[in-house]
Amino acid sequence: MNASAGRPPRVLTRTLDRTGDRVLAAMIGLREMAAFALITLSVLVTKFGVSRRVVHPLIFAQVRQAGLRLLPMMVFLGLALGLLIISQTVALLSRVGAEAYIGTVMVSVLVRELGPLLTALVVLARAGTANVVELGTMRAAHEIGALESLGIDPIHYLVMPRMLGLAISVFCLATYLVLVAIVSGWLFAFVQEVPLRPSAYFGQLGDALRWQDFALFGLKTFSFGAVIAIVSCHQGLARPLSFEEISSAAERTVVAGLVGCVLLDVVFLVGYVFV
Amino acid sequence: MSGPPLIELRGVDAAPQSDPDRVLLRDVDWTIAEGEWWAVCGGPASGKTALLAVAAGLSPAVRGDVRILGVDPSRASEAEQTGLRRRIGFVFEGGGRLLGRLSVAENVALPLRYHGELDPDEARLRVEELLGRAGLESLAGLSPSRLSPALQQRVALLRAVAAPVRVLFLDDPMSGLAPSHVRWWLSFLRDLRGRRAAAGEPLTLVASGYEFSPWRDDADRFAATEDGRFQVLAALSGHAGRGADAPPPAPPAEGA
Repeated sequence: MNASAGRPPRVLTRTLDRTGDRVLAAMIGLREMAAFALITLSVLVTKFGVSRRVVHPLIFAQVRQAGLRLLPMMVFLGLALGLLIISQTVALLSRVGAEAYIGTVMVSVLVRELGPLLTALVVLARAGTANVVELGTMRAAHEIGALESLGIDPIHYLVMPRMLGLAISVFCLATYLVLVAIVSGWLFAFVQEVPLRPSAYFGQLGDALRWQDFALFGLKTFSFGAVIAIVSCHQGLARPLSFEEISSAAERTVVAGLVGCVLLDVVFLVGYVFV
Repeated sequence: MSGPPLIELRGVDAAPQSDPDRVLLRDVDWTIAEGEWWAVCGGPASGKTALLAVAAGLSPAVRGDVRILGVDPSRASEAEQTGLRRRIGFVFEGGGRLLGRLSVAENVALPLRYHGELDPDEARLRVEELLGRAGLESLAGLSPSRLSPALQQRVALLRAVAAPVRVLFLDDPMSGLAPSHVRWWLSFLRDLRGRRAAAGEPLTLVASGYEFSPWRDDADRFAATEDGRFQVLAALSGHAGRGADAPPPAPPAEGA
């Protein structure tokens, strides 16, 4: 009698084992990141005013680095986005004589979804990876231990300014992106001789916007910035790194940041539907 | 002349922080009194760095009791830990682990500015004075990576003593230094110790290295790390170096 009869194939058990290991590793990573986020929040609450002459300029430096430097890129994206949305929208809506909904579509697509998410992805790619490389290099060069030997809390000195700076940066950049896209959308419609007066266009936008949109926009953008900061700082700081491992940490940051922002976006979408 | 004990280790096992399972020194009993200048020497991987890190409260002991300035660091609150760190300076080996994103002057000023011990103008003057004493004024605005390892180590020393620490740990500071740099270190440390003693705030020094010879004329207490043991030496005879022809250590002093 065959002893292996009735057992699942070895390939299947191996696949299940590997999948289980990966799920387990992902859950452990998620737990570590959640703990890191809670520690950072507690430091933010308890030490925000501590050493403000040293730490607060670091927040502004982060806004300069992750915000101001990305402004030209966001203006470019805003111009392109306005053009793309309006061109597609006008083509579709004019077929059914529903041009009056252009403003509604702009608000739905741009303000509620695409603006915050696209901004977060650009900031993740540019500032998130820069963060993990900088912090990972510090970790590999044992500079974190040097900070601790001086009585300086690395979470307070390195993570808190990044979290606040990135949250502010994503909010400001997303605001500029949306404003530029709205204006460039109208300009494109004007150039294409779409019969849409500025007053009608901006009136449609005003009618489509609700107070929840402003609240959602602010919450989303600040949360995305915080998620990018937590993910990149966690990957750079939370575990011992060698110089060779920094590029892998940057890759993990992009993946984890992307997943984190998209999941958060889904949570906000569900919340918005029920508000 | 020795004062009251500042740091006490009893039955301590020490291991590198990155590898706590690899115990390098076992059953260490060590008392560091105020105003003493210790030289702790031993071969590579003999546990000097691990021991200094435990004694400075930077890394936990694998086993045993540690008291630093009357505080057990393993049970200290965050405020007590920060208080300890502000009174204990540590110069790391191999370039001193300066922050690469800050300039030389900013590195030296960081602990002063972060802990707000001096207002910005006073801190600037203090940093200028320290850099002047080290002959590094012209390099104040440079990134540490532009300096040689010997000068980086010097900046790390300035950073550690910028605040008025009570105990200063120097982890193998003379390694690879040219004789002129060694003379500068000894002269700076003597001068610093003299100033602090004159001000009624004696500075306690603990330096490690491969050889006793640089410290022979200045240190007043000597200890060796060898074969997993920490031995306080009653006399330095026969311990000028840790070369292959170095004779065995003298018997340990009682009650050390």
